[in-house]
Amino acid sequence: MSAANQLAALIANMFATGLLDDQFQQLQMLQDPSAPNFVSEVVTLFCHDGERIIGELAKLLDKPTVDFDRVDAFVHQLKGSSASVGALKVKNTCIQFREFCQQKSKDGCLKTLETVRINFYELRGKFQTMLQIFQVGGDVRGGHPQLAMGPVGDAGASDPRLFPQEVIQSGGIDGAACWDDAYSTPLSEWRN
Amino acid sequence: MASKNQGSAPRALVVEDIKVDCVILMHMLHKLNCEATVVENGKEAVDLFVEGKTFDIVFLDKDMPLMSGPEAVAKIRAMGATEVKIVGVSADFGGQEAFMQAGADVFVPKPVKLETVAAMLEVMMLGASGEAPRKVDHESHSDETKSFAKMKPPEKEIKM
Repeated sequence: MSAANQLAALIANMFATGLLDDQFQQLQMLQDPSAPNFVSEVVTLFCHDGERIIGELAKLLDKPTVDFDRVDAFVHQLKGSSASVGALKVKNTCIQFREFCQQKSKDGCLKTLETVRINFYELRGKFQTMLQIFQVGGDVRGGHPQLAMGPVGDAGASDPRLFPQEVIQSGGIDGAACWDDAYSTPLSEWRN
Repeated sequence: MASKNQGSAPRALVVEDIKVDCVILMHMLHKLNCEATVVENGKEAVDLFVEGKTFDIVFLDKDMPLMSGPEAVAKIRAMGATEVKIVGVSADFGGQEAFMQAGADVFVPKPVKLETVAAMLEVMMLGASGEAPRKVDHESHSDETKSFAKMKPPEKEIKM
């Protein structure tokens, strides 16, 4: 399976499983020749920020007296950045989290933090896989930071460096069975 | 305080403390050929106006350290900057009332979409050229851009 099809199948799966919403397509549309790495930069920034915020939340909730206003402020940040990148599942968990903050429920916050952590790391793993495939595709094309799309529809009329939006629209998705083969690499191998 | 900028790239100010949101909005503005400046909180935004900087449009997040978006909007309007278009942005829908009461021209919920920003700039620049803004086709625009199409300078006196 080509890198382009792997990428398309991964992203399609992330949409289908509720990890991403259409805001991610907004990011894809923003990528252009003047910013060929835009999506990967935003995704990387989101992952770093998200990890930092989750760490801060864990510290705040570990204290005997919880400052729920500070917890809420961090959750608000994570909710905002999740919404901006299309991280639907993380965003929705943050909405629940804020409700527990309003109720000043430490137990509720702790349980929801665990859910946020699970959802975030699931998403981060998929993003890391995405970026890895993107880079592999780039290497195939002689080191240029572009997607290895191969002949996708009217390739001559499209910018080959566009992120998977074009791949998805071209009908290059082979279906869920293909991506199962592509993503057999254990998540642990992608973690720092 | 003059803020009209006829015949050249629109000058935008982005006031946002969340890096991801900042990067995305800045990229949108660059894509739309704007000169964009970014600061991290309302106080830095107000400081720019105090220094005499002028902008055509300002995008402010609601919740920020040191000074919130609505507070900054109120201060900017109180300084006499009535022509600059101010857009309140927040993932919190409750922010709309706060921004509008402070003197913002329009509120846009996060996540902001490229077409929304594009429509705002189009209406703003057409207005700045002295021509009447063209009628916006409301059928083809989201609710956010419909709100922007009806944008006019704040009528309320800003109380400090």
